[in-house]
Amino acid sequence: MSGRETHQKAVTRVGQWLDLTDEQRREFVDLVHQSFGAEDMDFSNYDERYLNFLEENIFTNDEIIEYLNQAGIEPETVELFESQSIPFDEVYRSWNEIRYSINEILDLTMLLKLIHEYSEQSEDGLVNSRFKLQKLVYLVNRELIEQDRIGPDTKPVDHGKLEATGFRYTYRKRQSGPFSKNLQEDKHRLYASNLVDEELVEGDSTPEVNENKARFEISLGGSGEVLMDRFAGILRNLSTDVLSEWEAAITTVVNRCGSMSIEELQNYVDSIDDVNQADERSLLIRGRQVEYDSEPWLEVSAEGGMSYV
Amino acid sequence: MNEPKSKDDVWPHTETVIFLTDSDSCFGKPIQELMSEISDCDHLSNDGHHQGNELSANFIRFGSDRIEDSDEIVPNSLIFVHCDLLLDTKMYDHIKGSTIPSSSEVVVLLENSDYSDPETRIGNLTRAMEIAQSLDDVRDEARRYFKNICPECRGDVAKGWVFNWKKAVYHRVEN
Amino acid sequence: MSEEEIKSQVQEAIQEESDIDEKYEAEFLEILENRYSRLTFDESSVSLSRMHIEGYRAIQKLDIPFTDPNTVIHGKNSKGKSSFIEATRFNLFGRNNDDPLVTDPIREDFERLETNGYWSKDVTDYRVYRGMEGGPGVGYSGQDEPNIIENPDENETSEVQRHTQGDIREIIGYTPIYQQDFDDFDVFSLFSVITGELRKFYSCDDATDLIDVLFGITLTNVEREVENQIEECSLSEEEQEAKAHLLARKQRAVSVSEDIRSLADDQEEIESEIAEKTEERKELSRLLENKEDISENLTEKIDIQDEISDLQNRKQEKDDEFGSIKQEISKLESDAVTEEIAPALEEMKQMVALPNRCPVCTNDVEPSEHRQFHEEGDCPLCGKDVDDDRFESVSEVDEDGEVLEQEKRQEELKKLEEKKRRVRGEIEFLSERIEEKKERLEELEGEQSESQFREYKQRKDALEDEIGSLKEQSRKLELRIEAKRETLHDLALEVRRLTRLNEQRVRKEERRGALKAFQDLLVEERIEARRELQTRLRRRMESLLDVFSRGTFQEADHVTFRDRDSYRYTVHVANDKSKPELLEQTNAELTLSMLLFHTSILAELQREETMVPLKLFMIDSPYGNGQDGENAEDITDFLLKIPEVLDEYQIIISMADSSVADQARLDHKYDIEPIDDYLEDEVSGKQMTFGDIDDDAEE
Repeated sequence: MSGRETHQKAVTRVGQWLDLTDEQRREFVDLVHQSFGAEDMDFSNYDERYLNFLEENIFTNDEIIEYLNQAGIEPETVELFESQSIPFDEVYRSWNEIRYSINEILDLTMLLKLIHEYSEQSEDGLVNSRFKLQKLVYLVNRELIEQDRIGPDTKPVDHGKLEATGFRYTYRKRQSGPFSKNLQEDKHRLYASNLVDEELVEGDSTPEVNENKARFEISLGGSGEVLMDRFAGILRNLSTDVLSEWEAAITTVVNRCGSMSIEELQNYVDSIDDVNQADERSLLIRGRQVEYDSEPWLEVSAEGGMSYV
Repeated sequence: MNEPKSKDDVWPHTETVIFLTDSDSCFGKPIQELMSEISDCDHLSNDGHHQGNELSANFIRFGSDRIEDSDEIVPNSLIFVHCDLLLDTKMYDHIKGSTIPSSSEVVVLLENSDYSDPETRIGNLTRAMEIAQSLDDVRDEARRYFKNICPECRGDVAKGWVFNWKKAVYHRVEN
Repeated sequence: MSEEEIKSQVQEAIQEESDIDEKYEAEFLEILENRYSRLTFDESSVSLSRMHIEGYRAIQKLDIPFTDPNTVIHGKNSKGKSSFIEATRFNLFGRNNDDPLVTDPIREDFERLETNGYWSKDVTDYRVYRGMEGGPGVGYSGQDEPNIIENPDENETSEVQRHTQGDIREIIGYTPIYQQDFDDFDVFSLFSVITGELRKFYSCDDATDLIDVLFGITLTNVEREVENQIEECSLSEEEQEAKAHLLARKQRAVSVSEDIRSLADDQEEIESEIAEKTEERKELSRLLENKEDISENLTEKIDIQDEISDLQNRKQEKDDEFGSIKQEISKLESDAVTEEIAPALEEMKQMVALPNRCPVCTNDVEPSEHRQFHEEGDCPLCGKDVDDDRFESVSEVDEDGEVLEQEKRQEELKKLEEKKRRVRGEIEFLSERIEEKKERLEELEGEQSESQFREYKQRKDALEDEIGSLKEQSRKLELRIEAKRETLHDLALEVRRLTRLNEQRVRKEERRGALKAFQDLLVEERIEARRELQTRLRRRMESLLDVFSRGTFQEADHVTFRDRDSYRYTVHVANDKSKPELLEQTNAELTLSMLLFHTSILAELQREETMVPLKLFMIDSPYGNGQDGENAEDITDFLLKIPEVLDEYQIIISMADSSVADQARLDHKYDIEPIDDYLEDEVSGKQMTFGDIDDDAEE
C-alpha cells in the first residue's frame, strides 16, 4: 500500500462498497469494531498502519467472513477479504482535478490580486473593460522592465526585472495597442472557475479587439471573493524579493492609472514610444522568463514529524 | 484560538454540529426537535460505560444570510447543509476551495431541491461528502460520526482524529 | 443527366473529401459502383392503335381506332370521354386498389365490363384483354387476370391462357420502374392530365423520387447501403464503456504493482535476515558438533561481533535518516520564492481544479459533463480528452500536506535543523561505541578462555525459533504476493481485452465518421443533380410560358422551384403569385399549370438517352368545366404547342363540346374525332360478346 493517510471512514466505506443495506452496513461496522481487542485500541492515528491492521487482522476474521457470506456477498468478493486484497482504491471515492503548473498558478493569483486591488480603488468597484485589463497588465510588466534586473539575464536584450518576476504574458502590438493572448486565456480560466465575473454592457465599446459592440465589466466572482477574503493579507507587503517587486509594480500602476478613463488610458499607452512606433503584430515585450515550478507543498513523509491533516 | 499541540489539548471535546438551511424543518421534522433527538445519544451522554468520555455536543442553525461569516462556519466538525444552499451560496466556493478543512464532515440534505439532478451535482464536487435523503440518514450520519470520535468506542484514534481536525481549523482561522 | 457524369462527380468528391480517409476510398467507390445504376428501358415505342370498350360506366360499346399520333376525341358531356381515358388505364393496369373508383365502374345494365386494347410495339401488335365483373358489396373479380394475344390478326386460334400484370408491364416497358418499387398508377399519372385528378401526380408521395429516377438521379440505393453500414458501426454497450473501464483498470494495475513491489521489498528484508541467522546457526552447529572447548572469550567475541553489526545497522539507519533530513531541508530552502504566498497559491490551485462555466459561451457546465470528466477524463467544456499532465486523479484519502504559512515553515525548518543536529549526535555516539567495541575485540583476539557449550546451544535454539517465525512471515508474504500477482495477471488480461475493445470503438467511430461524410456527400450530389434538373425544367417551363398571351399567365414571366427536396414550383405572375394548391381542381388556372408542368417534364424526358417505351400522353377535359373563357384561348394555343414539343409521343385528348373549345384551330395539329362515330348506344340489356373484328371466344 502506498504511504498515504487513511480515514476514520475506512470501515464505513468498505461497507458502502459492499452494497449492503443501511441496516447491514451498520451491523457490519459494529461487528468490525467489536472485533478489535482491547490492545488494538492502541493506535494513535488513522493512518496506513490502521488500514494494514484492519486488512490483516480484522477483515480476515472468521466472524466477519461468516457475516459476509450470510449477507449474500459474492464468493469472489469474500475471497478478497480472506486473501487480504481488498481494492482500497476502488473503495474510496475518487475524482479528477485539472492541474496547472505552479508557474501558471502564480500568474493567476497575481492577476487576481491586480484585479482586486484595482477594483478596491475604482469608483465602480470593478475593472471596467477587457481593454483596461490588457493595458494595466502590460504597464505592470513594462514597469518591471525599466528597472534593473534581479538576477542574470537570459536574453541578449535587457529584460530588466521582468526576467525573474512579473507576468509571463507576451505582448504584441494590435490595433487596440498592446495585447496578450495568454492573458486573455488566463482571464478565461479565472472566469471558468468563478474567480472573476464578467458583465456584458451592450451598446458600449472599447478599442479592444472583442469589445467593439459591447464592453465587459470584470469583477471578482464568488470564489475570487472567498480567496481574497482569506488571503488578501498574505498577498500584501510581500518580503521575498521577486514577489515584492511584482507587488510594487502592481501598486504603482494601479495608483497611476486607477482613475483614468478608458480613453485616457488609451492615450497614455499610445504615447509610449515603443508602442506607437511598433509595427502591427510585432512583439512588444516578452513575459517573465523564469519558471517557478518547484513544488512547495510539503508531503507526508514516512518518518515522523511532518504529517498534516 | 491557541494551536493545539497534543491530544490532551483537545480533550474534553465539545463537538459542534451546524445545520445550514433556510428551512425550519428537515425531512418534515422541526430542526430544533431533530437537534435534541440527535444530541440524545449514547456517546454524548457521559453515562454508563461512556462515563468519563468527556464528549459533548453543541448544535446551531444558520440560514443563508450567515454564510458570509465563514469564520463562524469553519470551526464546526459536523456540517449538515441543504443541497440548494450549498449550490447557490458562497458555501459552494468554500467547498470548492479549502475553507472547510477536509476532515470536517459535510452531509448534504437532499430534499425539495430546485435542481433537476442534485445528487450528480453534489457527486461532481471535488470533495467527498455524504448524502442524507431521509431522517434516518441524518440520524445515522450523526450517530456514526459521534461513534467515530468516541474514545470509549474507538480508542485513542478518536482523539487523534479530533486533534488533527483542531489543528486544521486553527490554521484556517488564524490563517 | 448522364450516369457517367453523376458517378464521376461522386468519385471525385470521395477522393477530395478530407473527412474520408484514403483507406476507405476504395471501398466507397466500390459501393458506388455496385449500387448506382440508372434505369434502362428497352428502345422500342409503344402506342395505342385501337380501343374497344364495353360496359364501362357511361359507355355501352365503343370501338375507336387511332391512326394519327395526335388525336382529340370530343363529344357532348356525359358521353363517356372521361370514361374512355379511365377505361384505357383500366385496360393497362386494372383497378387501382389504393384509390378505387367511388362509383361502380360496371355500367348499370351490364353484368361485366370488358376492355380490349390494341397496342403496337414497333412491329409487333398486342391485344390486351381485361374485364371485370361483380359489384359493390359482393366485390369484384377478373380485373387481375388480363389476357394478351400477340399479333392477333395472324393468330387464328385462341390461346386460353392467363397472363399477369407483369407480362403487361414487360410490353409497355414499365418493369424497370416497377422494380424500383414505384406504383404503376403513380407512374401513369405522370403521363396523364385528367380533370378531377389534376394533382394526382404532383401531390403523390413518390413524385420527387420518380422524377429523380427517370432522369437518372438514382443514388438512393447507394444511400441505403451506406445507411446499413452506418448501422453496423453502432457501438455496443461494452464498447461505449471501454474507455472508462480501461482507465480504471490501468490505475488499479498500477496500484497493485506498487503493492507487490512493497511486499517484495519486505520479503527481501526478511529473507536476508533469515540468511544471516541461518549463517550464524550453521556456525554454531559446526562449533557444537566439534564439541571443542570453546573459549569464553569466543562467546564474548561473538557477542561483540553481534553488537558491532547491530550498531553499524543502527548507524546506517541514522545515516539514511540524516540524509533524508538534509534533503527535506534543502527542499524547503529552495522554495524561497513562492513559499511566502504558498497558502494563497494552494487555494488558487483548488479553485481552478474544476471549471464550471464556459468563458466563450458563458453557459454553465452540465452535471453530466462534470461526471464525464470525473469518470473518463473528458474536458467539461469541450468534451475532448484532457492531456494526462493536465489532470490528476485524486482520492478522498489523498491528503496533500496542508500548507502552513511562513511562520510554520520557519518552525519546521528549525525543527528539522534540530533533528539534524540530534541525529548527527546519535551518529557520532554510535560511531564512538563501534570504535570501543572494535578495540575490545582486538583485545580479546589475544586471550584464551573456557568453553560455554550450553550457551551456544541456547543461542542456537533461540535462532531456530527466530528463523522459524521469520520463515512463517516470509511465507505469508509470499502468499499475499501470489494473490496480488494473480490479480495483476487478471487485470492485465482485462486491460488487453478492454484495449482491444477501445481500439474497436475508435475504429468504429472513425469508420462511422467517414461513412457519414460519404452520406453527406451523396445527399449533396443528389441535391446538385436535382438542382440541374430543376434548372432545365425551369427553362423549359419559362419558354412554354411565352405561349400564354391572354389569360391568367399572360403576365407570368418566370418560374422558381421552391426547395431542393422536391420539384414543387411556383409560377410568378407580375402582381400575384400563382400557387397550384390553393386553387380548386377544376379551375382552368390549375389545368394550365399542370399542363405546363407535365409537358415540360415529358419534353425533357424525351431528351434523355433512355425513356419509357409507352410514350402516351393523355389529357382529359383541358378546358375544365368549360366556363373559363379568359384562359380558353391560351389553352388552345398550348394544346397546339404540345405536339411540336412532344414530337415523339402519342397524344390523346378528350374534351367536351363547348363554346370555348376551339376545335377548328386544333384541327391543324390533331385528328379530331367525334366520339359519337364510334359509340353504339342500343340498350339491349344483354351482355354482348365481343364483336366484329375478332371471332375468338373469350374466357
